[in-house]
Amino acid sequence: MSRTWKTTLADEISSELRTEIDTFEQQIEAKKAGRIHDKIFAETRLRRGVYGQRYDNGFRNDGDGPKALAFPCGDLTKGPDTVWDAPGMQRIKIPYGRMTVAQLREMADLAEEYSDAILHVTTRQDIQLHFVHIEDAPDMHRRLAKVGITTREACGNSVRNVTACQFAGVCSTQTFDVTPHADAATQFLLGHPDVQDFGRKFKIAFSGCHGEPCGLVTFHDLGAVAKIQDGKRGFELVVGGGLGAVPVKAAVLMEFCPEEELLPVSQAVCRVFARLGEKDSRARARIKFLVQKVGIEKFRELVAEERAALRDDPRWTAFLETPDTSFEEKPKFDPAPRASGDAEYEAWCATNLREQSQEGYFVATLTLPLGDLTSHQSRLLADITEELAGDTLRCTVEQNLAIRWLSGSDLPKLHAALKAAGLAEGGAGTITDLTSCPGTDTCKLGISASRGLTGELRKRLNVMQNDLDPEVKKLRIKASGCFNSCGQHHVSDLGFLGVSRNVGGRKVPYFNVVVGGEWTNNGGSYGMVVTAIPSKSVPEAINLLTNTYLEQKEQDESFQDFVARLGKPEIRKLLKPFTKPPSYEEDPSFYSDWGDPREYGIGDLGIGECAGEIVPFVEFGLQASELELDQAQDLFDQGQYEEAQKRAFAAMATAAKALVRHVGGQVRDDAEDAVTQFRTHLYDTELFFDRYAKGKFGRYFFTAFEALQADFSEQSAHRHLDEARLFFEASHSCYERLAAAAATEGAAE
Amino acid sequence: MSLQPAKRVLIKRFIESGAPESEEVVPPFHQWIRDALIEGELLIDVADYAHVHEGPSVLLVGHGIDIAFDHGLGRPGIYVFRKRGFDGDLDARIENALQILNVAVARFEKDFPEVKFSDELSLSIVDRLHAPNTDAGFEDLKSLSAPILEQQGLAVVGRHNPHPGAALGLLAKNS
Repeated sequence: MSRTWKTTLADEISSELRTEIDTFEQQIEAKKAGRIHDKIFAETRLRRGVYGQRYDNGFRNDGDGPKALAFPCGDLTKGPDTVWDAPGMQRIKIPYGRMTVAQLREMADLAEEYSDAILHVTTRQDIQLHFVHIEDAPDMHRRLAKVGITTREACGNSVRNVTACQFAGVCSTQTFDVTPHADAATQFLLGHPDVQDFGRKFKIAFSGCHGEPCGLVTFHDLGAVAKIQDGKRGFELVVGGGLGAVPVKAAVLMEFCPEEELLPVSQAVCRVFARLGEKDSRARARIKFLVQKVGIEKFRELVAEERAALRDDPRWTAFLETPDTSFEEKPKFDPAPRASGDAEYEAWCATNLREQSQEGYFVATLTLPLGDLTSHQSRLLADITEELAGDTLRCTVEQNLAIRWLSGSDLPKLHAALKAAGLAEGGAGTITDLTSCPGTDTCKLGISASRGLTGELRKRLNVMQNDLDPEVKKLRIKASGCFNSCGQHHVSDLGFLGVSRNVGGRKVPYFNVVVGGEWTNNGGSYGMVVTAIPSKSVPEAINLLTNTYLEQKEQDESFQDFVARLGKPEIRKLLKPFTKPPSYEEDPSFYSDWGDPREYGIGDLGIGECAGEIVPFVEFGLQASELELDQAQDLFDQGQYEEAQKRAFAAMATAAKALVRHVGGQVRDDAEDAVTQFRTHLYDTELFFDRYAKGKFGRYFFTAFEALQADFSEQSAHRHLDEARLFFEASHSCYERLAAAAATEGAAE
Repeated sequence: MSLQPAKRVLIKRFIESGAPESEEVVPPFHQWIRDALIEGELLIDVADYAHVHEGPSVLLVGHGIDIAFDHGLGRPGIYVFRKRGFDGDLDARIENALQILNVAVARFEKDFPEVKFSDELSLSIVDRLHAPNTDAGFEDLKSLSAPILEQQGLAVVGRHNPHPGAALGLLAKNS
């Protein structure tokens, strides 16, 4: 039998990650065997970062209308209307953007073997691989686990990647290094029972200061800005921010949250969101709607009550006992002033280099076109980083990468090495450094080609960049393919949002023009939508807007102030000549999108998976319990009676914990607490009681726990396995009764 | 160690002169999908990576194979990547990928008559589990592929990508 990654890496992966990945592989097999419902499987894979992609509904517009794609899998699906064999996307969480060179090398290999040899950096510091097959996911996950990466909760209705400023720890404007706190939040909330029952995703961001944009906390579900009060470290916490169709600025939850309260308060916020957040309507399920609904004052009260009721958890403060230095990358060489070099190098330094707060050290930003780099470039970059800086890099929210701890004397060498790798593009943070979501290239929700547009703009701007006025050069352009705003267009000077229009009986790709957003101050204010113009008119419209700004600006007036002074009607008037495309007969190119020769259409638009599938957490627990029961049976059949009996008990505990949490209880992972909490919340209350059997099946759980202390035998394993199955069925019935009662109650209201 | 269990094979024919601009390749690749150019293979979509330095500039994504107008290591060419599907051992997979590459190259020459392909190709086994990039792996690959390459009038001339992290690969030229 040939080797597999599963066996090869068995000893190199933590047992927890190994079990998770093996379970996911079993779930894939169970889905293929028709044993898991579409919705549950979709949310299951999403929570492992295994996303759908455009055309996975089995249809593609080939220019003459949608055509069926004959995938070999037949009717097999990986979610509602999602064909099994259709290429998908693997999102890889990179907590606060920090990755090691070993991790980068592994992702380079994965991209080459399972994807298209391209690593894509996202606006939330993730790495995405596109065009992957779901059946390759478990091996990808194993190889990622080997280098310490989990894809758990990279998607779905869960806590997404925790982001933070890429300059944290080396920044001169930071209050303190937020890296340990971002890391603690990542570890604490990953897989936490209190974050499993959300109606939508939940995004957290950290920033070391108020003024810079790197953390972008203002449009996050929960944002934390470093603050020192009375000599004590803590955070200003904001809650309920978000972009999307209607951007909302986060409200202040706590002016000052001491650092030891960061995790319990975050947990309390999550519990309030899980308990009171919308579950039926995806469109109103983000926490921003809950905050708006109850008001920030009431929300604060709810969080405070929840916090007071939490059971102590040593993890809340354990991370504070680790010195911050554990997160400081070790510089490879001594500090030195910045060495000078040729004109090209100097120009690159002007935009892509930043002095660290530690004198003689620098951070280099690598401008990645549209956030992409190849596997080969990734390997060269890992080598360069290792040689000159140490062993880590950071992803940025502008889809770039940052190398820190570079000695000033090594910078010409760095620049030369980056140039050889095709990674020395300048203009970081300028108008040529455009940001874009995937748009119609791969996203199921994309309406217009945001990457096509930004790719075209990039080409044009790069040609003319030496002639650009400095005031224009410092503007930012960001584009999103639809209203979900993944390209963060609301907080750019010139933002574009994909829409479409019907013109003369044909569809035309359009973009809403959004002007005057603020990138600084953590994305401090949102731009205004002025009008919609055809996609092909965008470059000319940008020329007109920037030229008008240069001609009419008053002294040091910023672009943001300029558009505010001019006002929406005036800008709309300015752009009016662009709003209508020529007829198809005059210029058919307007009826295709950038970088795509097909006649434009949105017939192959799918249903997005950003929202995840709304599946109650208890259903995941019951499903996991059933898998454990199957494993117990397998162990029994193999004659491993002790292991079989223990696994049967574990299956009961999994179901019990799911029910405890479903009725609002808190329960730890250990068996004793599972038994105690089950007794308190389900048994003593008689919620678990069957009409005829009463508490009989519940008592099986208690006796199974006691039996763990006794001798194991074939007979005892057999009995407890049978009883575990009865307990599992009773748990299902209990959940159904509770759900029916809740529905009746809801209807009565 | 036998390379036979390896599944993923990438073969690239290099262009000697007359390579088109990447953006010119996008429309023909869409047409290849409409024409179902490769018999028995589902071609799905075209991805434009022209902005990436020395990458798969225009990628025709399929279910079992990908085809790319590629600039890897700074050399333009057309590659076929057999990533899944197709039962058979590695020899058969290499032969199959070569056949598909020949179809793609012929069509590319028709779409871009000014293109001249060189007599050189690279063959990589993109499978680090079964085909690690080691000296022994290279020797195995050479032995395994030599008879197949000979049928095309090609002989192995050396390793492909010199980076130690790259996939196992070789270069072959007209003998």
